[in-house]
Amino acid sequence: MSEGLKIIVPIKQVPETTEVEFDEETGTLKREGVAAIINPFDEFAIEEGLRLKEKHGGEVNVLTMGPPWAADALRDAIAMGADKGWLVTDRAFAGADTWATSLTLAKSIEKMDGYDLIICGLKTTDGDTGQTGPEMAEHLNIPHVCYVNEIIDVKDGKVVLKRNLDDGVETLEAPLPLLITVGKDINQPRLATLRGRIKAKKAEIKEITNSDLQLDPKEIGLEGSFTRVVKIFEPEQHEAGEVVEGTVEELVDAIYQKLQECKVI
Amino acid sequence: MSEAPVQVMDGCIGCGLCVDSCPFDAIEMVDEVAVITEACRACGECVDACPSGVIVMKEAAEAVLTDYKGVMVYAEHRNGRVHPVSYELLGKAQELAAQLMEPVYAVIVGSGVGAGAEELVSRGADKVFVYDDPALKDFRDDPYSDLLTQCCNEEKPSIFLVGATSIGRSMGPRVAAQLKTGLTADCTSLSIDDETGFLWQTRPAYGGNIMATIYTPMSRPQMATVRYKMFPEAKKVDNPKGVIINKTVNMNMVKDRVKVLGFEEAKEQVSITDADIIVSGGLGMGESTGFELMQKLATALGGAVGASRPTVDEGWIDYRHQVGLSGRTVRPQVYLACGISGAVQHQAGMKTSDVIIAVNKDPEAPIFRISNLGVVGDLYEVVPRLIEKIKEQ
Amino acid sequence: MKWFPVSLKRSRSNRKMPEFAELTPEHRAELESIVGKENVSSTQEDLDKHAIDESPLDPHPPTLVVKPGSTSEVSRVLKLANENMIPVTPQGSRTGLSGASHPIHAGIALSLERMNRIIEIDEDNLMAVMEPGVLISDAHEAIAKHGLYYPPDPGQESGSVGGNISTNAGGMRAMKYGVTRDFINGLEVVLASGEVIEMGGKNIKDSTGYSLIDLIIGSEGTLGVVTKATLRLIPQFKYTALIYAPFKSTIDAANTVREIVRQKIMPFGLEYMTQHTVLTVEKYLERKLPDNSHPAYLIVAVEANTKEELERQLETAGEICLDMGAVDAYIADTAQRQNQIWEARKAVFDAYLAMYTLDEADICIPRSKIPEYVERAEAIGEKYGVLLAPVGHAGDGNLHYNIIKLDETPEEEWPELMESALSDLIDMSHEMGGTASGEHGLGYTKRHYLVREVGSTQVELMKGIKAVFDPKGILNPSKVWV
Repeated sequence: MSEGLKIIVPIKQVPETTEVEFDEETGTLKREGVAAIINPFDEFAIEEGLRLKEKHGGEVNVLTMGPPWAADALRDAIAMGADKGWLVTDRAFAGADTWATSLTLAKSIEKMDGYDLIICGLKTTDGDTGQTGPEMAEHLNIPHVCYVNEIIDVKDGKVVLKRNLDDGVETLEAPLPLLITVGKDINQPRLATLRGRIKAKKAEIKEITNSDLQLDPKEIGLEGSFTRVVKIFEPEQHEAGEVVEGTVEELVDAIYQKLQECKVI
Repeated sequence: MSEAPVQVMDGCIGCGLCVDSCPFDAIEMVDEVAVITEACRACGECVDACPSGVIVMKEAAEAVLTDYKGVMVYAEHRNGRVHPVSYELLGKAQELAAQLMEPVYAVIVGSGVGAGAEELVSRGADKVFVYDDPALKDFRDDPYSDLLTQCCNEEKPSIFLVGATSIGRSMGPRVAAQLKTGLTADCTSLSIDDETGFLWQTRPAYGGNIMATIYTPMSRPQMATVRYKMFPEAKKVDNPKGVIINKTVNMNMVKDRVKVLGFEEAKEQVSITDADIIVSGGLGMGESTGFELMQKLATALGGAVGASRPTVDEGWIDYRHQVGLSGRTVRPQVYLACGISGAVQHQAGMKTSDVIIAVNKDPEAPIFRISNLGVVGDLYEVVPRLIEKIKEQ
Repeated sequence: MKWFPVSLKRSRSNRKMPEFAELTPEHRAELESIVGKENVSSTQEDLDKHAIDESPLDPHPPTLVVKPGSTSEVSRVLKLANENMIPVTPQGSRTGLSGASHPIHAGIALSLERMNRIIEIDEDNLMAVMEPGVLISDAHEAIAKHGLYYPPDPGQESGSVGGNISTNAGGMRAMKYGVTRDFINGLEVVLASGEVIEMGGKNIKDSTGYSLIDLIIGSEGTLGVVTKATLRLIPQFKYTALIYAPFKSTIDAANTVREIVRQKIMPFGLEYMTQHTVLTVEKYLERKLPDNSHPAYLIVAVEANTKEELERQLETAGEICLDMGAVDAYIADTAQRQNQIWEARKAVFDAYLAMYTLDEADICIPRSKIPEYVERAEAIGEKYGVLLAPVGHAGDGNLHYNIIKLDETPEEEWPELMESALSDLIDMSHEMGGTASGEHGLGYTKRHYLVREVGSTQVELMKGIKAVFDPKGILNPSKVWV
């Protein structure tokens, strides 16, 4: 790796708040007036990419799929220190579920300047699925490792890393090219600097449309999506608080029952 | 529109009866001809309603979907011991399968997983597919997902459920991508739609601020990862009739690119920022030793100990335990506040917890206003008895 | 933590306090009939709780804690106390830093915590009417829901509206917006006699007579008890962002503050911290700030209604920082990134409190004097062998000097060292035309600095005013002056 690591960080622009307002009439979300930001989990991915670049050399390319204004997210990433931004944008890509999104992104990555490592945030704060990364790896036919919390070493085309599982931490060795997803315990993302932002404003954003990818319309966008949304609705509110008095045994029973309802015992 | 499972052939008279018949508002009249939109769920109502008989189900779609039968559960395990979420899924699978009148399958991959397979049979699985090979001892995304893909291609289940554990959420997407089917992440409820027989998969999005119900109309199996502790476990059945089917494993036919070098089990001591359960003590404990009791309860529940600011100021406990505006903000599944009055400073750090339980002597304590359950009582009576009860069960 | 302000001891002998009466069971019964039995308490827990604020002063438990629920209850309690010479200490949420809510002479701790209703948010007049027990965080939250803002933003969000009025609290946004006084448009006040008076209201202008409302604001509960307040609101800006800039020297950072003011940029927040503070708060929150390896830091916060305007302000302020010697200018533009830094800034006092023995000076000087002050203060720390950690609302000249005990200082020497350092810091502030307290108030622990600052003529005027409002001297006795 004399030229260093070629890193791609796919990111997504998400609404700044998850306190979404729900329009009862149309059954859709009100997105008006909500600022758009880089998915917070993707910031960890960008940061890890930048740290690897600082250590091993190479470059960090950021990639996003979305409407033209999603380029703002790419510029934010460039302000943090990423080298180049790629915007995958086409009306035909709209409405995609994770399968169609991951296919489109995978095909776009194949059109970019090559890669050793793809780093994704472990999920987005809007969709919350965490599926696009591993599905992308499958479409690219490369291995993936989710929930990476530490990259120990990158050497001789191999990465030694640790990942969080529910019951402990696993140490793995994976070959490059590789896709990983990372969460908040891997690093603390840096803030963009003023100089970085000024540079990012002028940075060129490369666009990829379906005329570049030539994907079958049946495989992209809403039409290429295997899942459909029947409805969205607001979750039931917390029940009104109940205050109980009584004998010790009654009180203990009340707590015990609540703990059971919460499925923690 | 080409993907709509229902087709309008030439000869539509534009009567609109199909529009009225459609339960999903999936038919529009365009230039006095019925057009099936993407909202179509192939229920067939319009086929029956059409007086001219020009609305037909698309043969291909029909054939593909009906080829798939059975509700399959992935049995996750660590060293052969099946993860409880898989038994929960098995229970749910039985319910769904009964409604669909389809069999219940489980699939297990690993080394020396025979006992696990038997347990799945004893809990009511009709067929358990076993991929057992020494080379499969440690979970790896590559071979496991390849084998599950293989199993789905061979057995053609209509539904395939995977626990939304870290393993399930890592491997599930790979399987779905290979099978070219939809996958709904982290579901909290599953049901069969009466009209169509499709699996309705409900899940939270936007950090739990909204719920979405999702279905998979055009591809099979209908896949979902499902959150742990949402359903009761499948119970042992009286006369298990299920069978174990050993599948051959050819490691040369599966990918295996990532090597496991080691595994370190999670430490007991959980930090309050990550804990699912937090037991917090306040000044109402009266003295610093109260935290020993809090620690006992936290240990019994597998949680961490939190503290209100005054207790930290008093030096009863280290500031790392402090929850609140000036300490840490936490959002556990359960927050148990003992002897904490609930100053706004404290509330700011914990009020978004999923469930708040408070124990306090003072029935007017502000903490009760934000609690799901308030218990008016002496924590030194209630908590020790609660610990006993948890240990008894 | 036991200590006695040195100069306080000296002055105590020649002061004469009014003869206060003890609370009797009859008084208690009467109080219970006014506010309800459950709202009069003498449990140890309540007495302990109402004996302190957040200053390092030893507790002063009241005889009774009384929690009125309405203006008329406050009125009847005060009438009873006034007739019987019972001292009354009004209390909000007791987060003050100079002992103003300590019941020095015991008697009644009049806790206004139950009077916490937000009565009205009037979008037509941009005013909010609320009771004194409403917490600042709750007020901010309720007001924000209407797209409006109440600018006074003291770090301590669990402080009460009443408490903020009593100390004329300032906070993070004073540079641009001013302090509590600038946003209080009307007050309902109960006098010591029990008489209820209303001042101001929803009028923006008022030239009628003396501004009594301005006497009440900042009077630390010595002139009357606020039972209702009308707050002036402003529309919220759409976008905010901040710069976190590390500097190679404290003087560079201090000079930058002056330059930002001179260049006529008006950030809504301009905060100064040193490395010691950054490291302390990082340890306390177990979280890193964007940089911790430089001697001094500025936080510059800007707001605008368009992205372009926000960007322009960021660039101008950022360029000034870089020109004046900032090593870098980190930019936090999302709500989450900004919150992380504000949370850290607001946790500073708690972090110091958790890890050190300290008191805090609250001086405020003309902004042009900041570099000189910062430089000379270092010598004061050395002179007394105490650690000085300044954290400040530098944009308005208000610097909080945390005076911290070094590990090697013996406990018994600490009170005197601390008081001497505090005294020197305040003297230096006076020398530069500054004040002893920018926003905390003098309360009890700093009351002996009043005469030094304003001279005896003004103190006598204040005493005269006090005598008119509270002839018997029952309201929060022994506060503000000696």
